[in-house]
Amino acid sequence: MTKKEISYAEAIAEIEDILGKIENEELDVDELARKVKRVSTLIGICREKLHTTEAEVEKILKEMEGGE
Amino acid sequence: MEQERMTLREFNLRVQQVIRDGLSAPCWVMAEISEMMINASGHCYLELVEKSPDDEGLVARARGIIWAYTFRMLQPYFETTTGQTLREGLKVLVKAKAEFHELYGYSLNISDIDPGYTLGDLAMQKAETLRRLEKEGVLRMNQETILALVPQKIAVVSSETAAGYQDFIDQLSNNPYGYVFYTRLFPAIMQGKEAEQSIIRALDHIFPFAHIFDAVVLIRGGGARSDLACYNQYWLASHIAQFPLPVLTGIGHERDESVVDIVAHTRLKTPTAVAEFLIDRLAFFDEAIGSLSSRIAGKTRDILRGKRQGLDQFARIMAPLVYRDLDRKKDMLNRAGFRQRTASQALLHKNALSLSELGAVAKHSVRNAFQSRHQQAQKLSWQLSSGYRKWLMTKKFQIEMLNKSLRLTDPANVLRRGFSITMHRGKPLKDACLTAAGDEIETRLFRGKLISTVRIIKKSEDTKKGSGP
Repeated sequence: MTKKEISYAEAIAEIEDILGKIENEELDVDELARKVKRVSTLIGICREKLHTTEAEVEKILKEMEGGE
Repeated sequence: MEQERMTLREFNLRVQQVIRDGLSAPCWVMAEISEMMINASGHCYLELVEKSPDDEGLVARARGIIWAYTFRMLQPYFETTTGQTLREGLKVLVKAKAEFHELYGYSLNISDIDPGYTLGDLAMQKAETLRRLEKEGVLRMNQETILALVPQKIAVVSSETAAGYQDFIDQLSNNPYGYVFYTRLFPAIMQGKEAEQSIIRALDHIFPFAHIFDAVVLIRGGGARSDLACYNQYWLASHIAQFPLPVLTGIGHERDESVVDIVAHTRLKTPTAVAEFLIDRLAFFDEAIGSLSSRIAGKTRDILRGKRQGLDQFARIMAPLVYRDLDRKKDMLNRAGFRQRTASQALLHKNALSLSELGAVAKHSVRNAFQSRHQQAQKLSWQLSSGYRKWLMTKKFQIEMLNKSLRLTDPANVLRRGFSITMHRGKPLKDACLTAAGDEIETRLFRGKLISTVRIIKKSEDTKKGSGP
């Protein structure tokens, strides 16, 4: 799965899952580091999707125009 | 008996006299407007009818006139009270006097109108439409569709020239957070007789692209008072109720909810309110991931602090143990050396001086042995302490790396941007419904905290949070 394809719902579900594991102290230090990095990445993806226009979507909307 | 003869005009004048004498007082008359026309001088000409109870065919018909000087007052009065334009299809209760003109015939001269009757009738019609939708099981279908967590792709049904549409687009594109929205207009006539069919056509256009969009927004707005009866029509309501995407309305009624508002996923008052609702939803998500991230950061920091303390303690216990062990080993070697030396001396003594050469060799070899053992011990001691130092350094390095990645998700950055975390019973609050009036909540800001008491709780469709001082 490429970065762009992860949905907001999937991202937040994964973040919540990681939070659960951290709160239950299920992770050792190495895993903890990996998961914290993963959360950071997921939040980055979400924030980018919120703030940056995706050419892909614009293209789809433009193509629809022709269909009418 | 000679029959009386008269001209038509004479006869009509007699009829006029009879009507004048017999029906001198005005009456309140219930009727439906089937046609309506306002001429250049401002007089209003109506065709009033009464339909048979089964709605098929007419059982009565009469012309009605509202003279310009009356109509100028009645029209605004009726329209501000009912929120409806006076128009064809409405049922009205009018104060009328029968008139008969020798040339133009019978008509009702209308001097007053009771808006309450029309309101009652419209309410009944609306209730009937709602009952029908309920019976067909479609009334709540649109409300059961799930609005995306982050609705960014919006199909807009509106009129391109409507002020409300422009407001909506401006509001979305200039949102203060810089969120991206994708909108696509599906033009429709938004008021009057053609609106119902026109909006349904626009929805039919969206339908094949439903998978692309997160929501449909139905907005109208600005401009003069207009005919919004279409938003109570059964077919439009039925289409909206069954549409596969959540429909958000911002039709801008001044009065009560239309049937379309009732069946829609979310009803908002104006196009601007719809835009705010969407922006708030994105901000809410943004805030939610921020708060999750700060919880993760906080907990991770706790864990790391615990581990570091563990390491320090371990080091405190280990160091003396290592030294003590080294001392003991050194001591053992010394003693072994001493024992060997005395033993060899005794032996040399016993075997006399003739063996002095041999004695010298033995002494030498013993010293060598002792020295090499001593070197071994020192080497071991050095290896132990350096290996342990290296191990400590790796752990310290790991901890620093973790701290660095933590700083990336620091909640302080989120708070600095003006978000706040509302805590309720020690937990971050995400749903206003989880509080009760009188509860104490704590709002954490970038600088400081606020402790407030909940005064009013509004459900999620209201965009503003209410909390008392």
